[in-house]
This record gives sequence, C-alpha cells and structure tokens, in this order.
Amino acid sequence: MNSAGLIMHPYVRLAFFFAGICGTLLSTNPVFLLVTYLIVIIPTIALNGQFRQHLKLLIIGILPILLSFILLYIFIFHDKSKSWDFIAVKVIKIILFTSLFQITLSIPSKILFITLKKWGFSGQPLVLVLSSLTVWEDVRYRANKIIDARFARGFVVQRSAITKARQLPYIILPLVIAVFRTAIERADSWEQKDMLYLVDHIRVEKVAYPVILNIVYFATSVCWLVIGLLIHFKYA
Amino acid sequence: MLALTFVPLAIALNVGIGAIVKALNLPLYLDSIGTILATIMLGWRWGAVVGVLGFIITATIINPLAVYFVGTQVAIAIFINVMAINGWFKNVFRTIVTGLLLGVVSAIVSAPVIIFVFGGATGNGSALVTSFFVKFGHQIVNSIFLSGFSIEPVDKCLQCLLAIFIIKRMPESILGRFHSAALIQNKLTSK
Repeated sequence: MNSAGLIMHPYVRLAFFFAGICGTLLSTNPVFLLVTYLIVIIPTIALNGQFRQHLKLLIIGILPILLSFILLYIFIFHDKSKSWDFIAVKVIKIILFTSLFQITLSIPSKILFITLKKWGFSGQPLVLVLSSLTVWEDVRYRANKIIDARFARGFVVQRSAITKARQLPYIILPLVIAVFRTAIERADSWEQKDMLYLVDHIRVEKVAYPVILNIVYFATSVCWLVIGLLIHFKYA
Repeated sequence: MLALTFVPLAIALNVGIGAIVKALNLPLYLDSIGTILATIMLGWRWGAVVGVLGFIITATIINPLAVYFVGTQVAIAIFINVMAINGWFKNVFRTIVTGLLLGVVSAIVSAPVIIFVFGGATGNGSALVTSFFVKFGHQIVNSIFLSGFSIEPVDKCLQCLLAIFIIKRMPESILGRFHSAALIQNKLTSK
C-alpha cells in the first residue's frame, strides 16, 4: 500500500467502520446504498490506493454472488419484479460491508503498531494481532517454495486434480513442521527478551494525520449513520 | 509464550494452505486446518482466536467474503475441543466420524449467515447445489441446509484427517512442548 493509506487517524478509522456497518445495516434503500458506495467508498479506495484490491473483490467476490442470485431468484423463482429489488439491496450491502473491511482493516505497516495501541490493544493481544498481521507473508512464501520444489523434483508427473490432491499432505507436512519449529524458536527468544514488556513500553513516532481529511471522514461517518437511522425509521 | 508465537503461525497456516489449495485449483476449502491444530494443541480458546483472526486476515488478503463466517470458526474450535478431549481422534474411523459431524455443525452454523447475509447465494459451488434443491421443490432455507450437509462433511472430514496426519508425523521434540489434554487423550504424544 502506498503512503496515501496513512490518512486515517485510528479513532476516525474505528468510527468510520462502525458507523458504516450500522448505517448499511439500517438502510434498505438501494438508491441511498448505491450513492454511499459511489461518493464515500470509491473516493476512499482511490485515496488509499486500493483500486486493484477492490477490483479483485468485485470480480472474484461479488460477480459470482450476483450471478448466483440471478440464477436462484430470476431463473428458478421467476418473481422478477420483487427479486431485482431484493438482489440490488443484497449485492450493494455486501459490497459496502466488504469494502468497509478492506478500507479499515488494511492498515499500512508504518502505522499498524500505533493504530492497534490507540484501539486499546496491549500486552498479549497486541503481540498476537501484530504478529498475525505480519507473519502470514512469510508462510505463504514458504508454501510456494515447497510447491515449486515438488513440481521440480518430478513428484507430480500428471497435473490432474487427483494427482495434485494426493500431493497435498506431502506439501503441507514440511510447511507445518517449519511453522512449529519457528514457533518454538520464537517463544524461547521472546521469553529471553521479555517481549511483552518491550512491546508495552516501546516509544512510537508521532504520525501527522491530515486534519481536514480526518474531519471530513468523521463527518461522513456521522452522516452515514444518521441517514441510515432516518431511512430505517421512515420505512419501519 | 508458546501459544503466543504458535497462534499467528497457525493463522498463517490457515491462510497459506488456503492459498495452496487455490493454486492447485482443488474443489475444496481446507481453510480450517490451523484452527483444528491449534484447538488440539492449545485448547478451544486459542483455536477460536486462530479461526477468527485468520478469517479476518483472509478477508483482507484473499477472499473478502470469509469475514462473514468467523462464527463458524468459533463453532469449529468448540466442537473439535469437545471431541478431542473425549478421545475422538484416537483412530482413523473416529477421526472420520468427527470430521463428518464437524461438517454438519459447520453447515448448521453457516446456514443463518448464508440465509440472512447472502440470501442463499454465496457465489461458490454451494449456491449451485442450493439452486438444484430449490429447483426440485424444496424451500430456500431447507435447500441451504441440504446444500451445506452435502458439501461440508467431505471438506471437514479431509481437514480432520489432515490435521491428525500432521500431528502423528510431528517429531516428539516438538509435540513434547505442548501440554494439551487432547494430545494425551488421543494418544498423539507419549508424554
């Protein structure tokens, strides 16, 4: 992620997330939901430099859902007038929820520590979340290496699904043993260094968040929630 | 401290194996092996942490829709813990039974999410199976349950077998560091 991802203050990030979730949950008006997506989510994604990630969400996540909705409600149920509205609301809501997760939980590594601290994490939970968000790339790298090695050594002659499925336990085993060994080594090292104390007492650099942009984001979060509430009670 | 270092790696295992399965284009999920392993080695609380955090991370990296199924991961951790402390991983037959039952539990826990969040259409193979049952006269809710019952047990059975296969081939020097009742109850470690 580029430096533009550094714009949101941790508290604003949290407010944006919860207001967005509540505002979306409360509203069943497809026009409001679509307008929110176009004027709030799309610009935020552009500012965060997450267009590629978001496109992946739309193609891999949302498009198959849309197609299965059409299959289920239009071709099988045959109630077209009612079903199109239902599909529109469901699909836009899923896009909004998932985009909120993408925007608020894709935290740049530079501000990951301070964001988690501001969110109230400390001690064990802080170490847990911090290492969970950073360690997976290492494991994925190792996994890819093991796959390449199995293919290169000729253990997989035919690339049919059954042959590949048979190889799976043999790919996973070295990966898991490496994972366990790393865990044990780290546990010993962290205990010696008193990692929990260090994490709680480490000094962090102050981050300069753009004030106006954060005010705009906070105001947007409040508006999203209030309009969602108004729509909910108007149609209740 | 061992739990603290193992949990992130178990999370990465969930994400990593999910990525392998995706790379091999296999018609499976295999996204809960880390959860099952952590539950057997460390107990259900850590297993649930692995499942929930793992699915949140998967949602931001690989599959954005995974986040809706975090509740299923908690249910998996609790169920595996109950079965493990009662010795239901002692042999292959028992492990298969546990896997099949876990599939049923997963289907039941996932169904409300599929009904209320996705309206029955999750966009994967299960949506086609749901459509199949709807086409043959079943109600949408019944179809979602039937679709879950026909897909989940196979996947979960494989995951349980894989988890036990992994633990049984683990060096004693590693297993000996984990003091879990489930490991002793299922005769997975000699200590």
